[in-house]
Amino acid sequence: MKARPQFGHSFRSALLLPAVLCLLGGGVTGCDADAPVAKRVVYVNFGHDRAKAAFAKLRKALEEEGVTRRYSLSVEHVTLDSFDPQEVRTLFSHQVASHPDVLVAPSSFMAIEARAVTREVPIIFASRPDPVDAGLMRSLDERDTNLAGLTLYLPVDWKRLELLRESVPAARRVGIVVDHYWLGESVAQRYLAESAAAFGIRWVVVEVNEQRDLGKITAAAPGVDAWLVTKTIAAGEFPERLVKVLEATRKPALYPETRFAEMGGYMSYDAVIDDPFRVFARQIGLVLAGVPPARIPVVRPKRFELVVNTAAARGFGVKLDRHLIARADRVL
Amino acid sequence: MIFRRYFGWFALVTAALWVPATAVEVWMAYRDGVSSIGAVQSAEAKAARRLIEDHLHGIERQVRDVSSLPWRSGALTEEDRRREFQRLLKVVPAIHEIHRWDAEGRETLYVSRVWKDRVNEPAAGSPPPMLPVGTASTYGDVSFRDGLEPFVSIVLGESDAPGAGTVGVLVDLKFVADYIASLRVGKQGVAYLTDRAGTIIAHPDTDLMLRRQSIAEAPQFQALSGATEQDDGLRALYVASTKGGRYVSARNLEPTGWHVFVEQPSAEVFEPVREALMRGVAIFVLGLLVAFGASLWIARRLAGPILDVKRGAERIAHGDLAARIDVKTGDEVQALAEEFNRMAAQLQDYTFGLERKVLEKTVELQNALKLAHEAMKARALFVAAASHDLRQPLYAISILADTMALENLPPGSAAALTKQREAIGILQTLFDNLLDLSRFDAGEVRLNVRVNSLHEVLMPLVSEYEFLCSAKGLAWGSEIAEVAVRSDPELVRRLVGNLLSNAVRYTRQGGVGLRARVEGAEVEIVVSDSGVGIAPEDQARVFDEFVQVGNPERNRDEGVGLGLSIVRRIAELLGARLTLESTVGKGTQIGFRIPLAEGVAAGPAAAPEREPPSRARLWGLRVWIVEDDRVVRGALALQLATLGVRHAFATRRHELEALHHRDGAWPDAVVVDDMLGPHESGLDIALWLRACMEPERIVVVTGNSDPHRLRALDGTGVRVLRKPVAAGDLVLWFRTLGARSSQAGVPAG
Repeated sequence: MKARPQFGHSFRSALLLPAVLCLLGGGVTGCDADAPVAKRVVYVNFGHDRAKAAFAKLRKALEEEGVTRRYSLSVEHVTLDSFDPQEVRTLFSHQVASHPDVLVAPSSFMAIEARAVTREVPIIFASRPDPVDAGLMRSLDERDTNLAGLTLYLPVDWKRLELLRESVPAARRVGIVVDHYWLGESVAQRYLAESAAAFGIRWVVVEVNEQRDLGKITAAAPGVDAWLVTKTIAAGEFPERLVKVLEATRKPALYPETRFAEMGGYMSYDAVIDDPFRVFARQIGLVLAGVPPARIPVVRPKRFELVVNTAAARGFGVKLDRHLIARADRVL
Repeated sequence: MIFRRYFGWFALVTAALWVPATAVEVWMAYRDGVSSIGAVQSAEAKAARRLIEDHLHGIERQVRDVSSLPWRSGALTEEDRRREFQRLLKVVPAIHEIHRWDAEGRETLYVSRVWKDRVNEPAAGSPPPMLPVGTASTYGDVSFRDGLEPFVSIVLGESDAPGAGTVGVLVDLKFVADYIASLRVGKQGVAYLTDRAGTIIAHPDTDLMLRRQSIAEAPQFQALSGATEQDDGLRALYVASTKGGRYVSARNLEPTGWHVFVEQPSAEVFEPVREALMRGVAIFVLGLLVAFGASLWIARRLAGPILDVKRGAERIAHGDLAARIDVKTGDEVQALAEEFNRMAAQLQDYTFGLERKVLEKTVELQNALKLAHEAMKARALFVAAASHDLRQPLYAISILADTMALENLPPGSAAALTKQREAIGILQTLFDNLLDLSRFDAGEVRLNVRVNSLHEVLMPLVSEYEFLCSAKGLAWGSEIAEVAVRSDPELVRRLVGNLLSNAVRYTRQGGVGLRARVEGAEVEIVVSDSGVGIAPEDQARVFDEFVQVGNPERNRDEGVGLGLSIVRRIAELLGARLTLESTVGKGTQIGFRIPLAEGVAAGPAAAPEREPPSRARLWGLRVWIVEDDRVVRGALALQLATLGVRHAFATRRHELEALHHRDGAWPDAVVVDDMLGPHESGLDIALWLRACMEPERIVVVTGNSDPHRLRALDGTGVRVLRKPVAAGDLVLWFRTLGARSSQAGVPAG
């Protein structure tokens, strides 16, 4: 009895290969034979400058990946005005009605609303939290979905706390900057409880959902020995203000992304996707080539980066451990 | 023909050169393709194998380097080992986490990129499970973390020394997968990696990898499994499939037991073969084009002059005798062309001579025709002059004879006068017939076909010839159908009249008859007599001029032999066929047919009332005569005086005006001769008089037989009498006018 199908005969994915080869090499005979087919990609995001910059990067990545060349591509930035789930869903409903070839939802909450209105239009998403935990997917290798994309999530908060503790061994009261999304994650409470026990610390949880909440950091600072910043709204929406407020407390802070250290933050540890827009572009290209989103794996970070800002350390009067410096991927 | 022959030869030569050359090239390209694909794919597979093995061996070496440090010397702690492992994580990104177990299998150290490190503490959190401890490098099965990323665990024994621990490394194979996916073999070739069981670990199509697709049953994997160690893998195995075959090579990886495959579609492998073939075809087509051009050039060079000669000969054959063949080859073809040119020149001269002669003859004929026309014109002028000049004295004689007949003459004189009047009648008949023949021959008589009652046409003849037969002691019989006919009534009457005249003339006893019966859509008119008859040998010529059968002495009492000639001409004009049946001594029947007029009823025509000439009712009638001929004037004056008619003569209009001025009134009748001289014609005077008096009281007497002139006179509405006018006719007209004058209260006399 044949246990498995013959390779090359009944290989279901044989049809996929030419499309993949087209995208990878662009040199497969027949890939460029026909006139460009009109395709439409709708990118939904807020209208602020960072969103515009992200959109520009996406367009550039589409050009660099050759997607723009292969199709007569229309990439539209549809702006979102509100976090209100109903409004977001309505916006996606309108977009789905216009029959785009691909919807791009660059955050998990957008992707959830997009997914709620269509199971047909491919959705390329980006998710800071775990897509499974956020309810976006049943599993990362789900085979029946119109979702593909990337997630920045890896459970590195344990490693961050370890690094912070090794950097500031005397810290017993650690302030953790979160938002309501982070707190809503199923693993959050478990993490707070288990990590506190494991490292012998007490958490001071500061929820910052908007800029006016930054005052909570200042208010909590006297009772905090060091800060741990998670990937939250504050980190995404107003990072400069966040760094400024935290550094003003004169307490060492470990940030979730390298750019915070580059802004003057004390230290950062991050799981990195080197160029998420190129990932987006490749996945959009596959979808436009006819590859079902379910057959495109969700991309996660595979590189980790520890950055130490010695100047900031000197400012706090912290003497950095030489082993920590040796471990750092970058020392500023 | 020449072109086809040369082209055929050139094409044959081209094909003879091309076919072997292309076959050799294609065969060599095929051989190169087959032999090179194995080498190329093997080289690619070897390179991939070397890189993957170096990658994994490098990890092993790094771990062994750390393990080989003097950990058991007491100078180094587990914390130091942790730091070394952390350094490893930094320098080897593919290492995801490291475990260390002591000789008893207890975990002493755990270093992770994600989770909290553990040093001599029980496991916390949720670290991934590790394989059992081994004594050397052992590779575990490939696992997929969260179903996405392939990982493999490598377990290494620290050393062979007693109490040595074991180190486990979890390696992220994404780096290997990325490398495999980036490999290019030709344009469409791919490389992929499987584990020892044939499950795909890395493939450009990540879906195959994520679904743990197995190729264990695929031919290439089966062939690889059957290869010996010396084979070191698989070399360019052809694998057929519905989407076209492909060539697959493979290499085994040590110590993992994995396999790296490199495959390429056969279509791409043999692309050089196809290109060689296409190149050969292109060269062949080019050769054919060259052959075509060369054949065309040679054919034109050779056949061109011959074709020029052919075309020139065709032009000459089609009548273009001015055509010349211009060939300057200096050979036999040019000589042939010159011969053609000479022949064409001779033909042209001959033809021009003929044409010139035809032209000359044509001119001569045209001149002769012109002379004939002029002769006809002269003859017409002569006939017109004769009509006038001969009729005038005959007219006068006739008037005088008629005048004398009105007197009571002694019996001898009366008999002489009768003979004289008969002679005058014969002369008039002869004269009329001659003029008629002349008019028929000149084509001046035209048909005037209309619908008429047959009675109206024939009854005047019935009255006339009944009277003549009675006078000659002959019996008369007539039968006229009461029908309408479509024909020229005047010509029919002339035809029948001539036949009757002829019958009466040649019948001395017995009788003459006229019968007109309907026969189908026609009426057959037959004149019969019991006369002398016509012998069969003479029947064919009785209709010729001046032929009188049975009158060799040419007695003028029996006519002049023109009546039947006129009958023949009238019958021809009417389109009627004459029939003649005659028996010598018994009589003759001559008939013809005319068509009936469909749908038209015709009643019997009243026979004209004949009234003998008498002087009654003419006394006092006032008549003016416009006549310039002195002899005729004298004869008329005598006749009118005898009749008791008051008359006056004039020759011009102003004389009539003078008469009118003298009498103070217009006369009862005016008789105008048509031909009055150069100043004004009788027609002019009649038209003028018509404005002064009733047209019915004007009569124009003419001897002109010109049809145009006669039609012009008829168009005036006045009465027209042809010369010579019988005294009876004139008296009859006068009497009619006299009666009208009486009825109108005009005093007669």
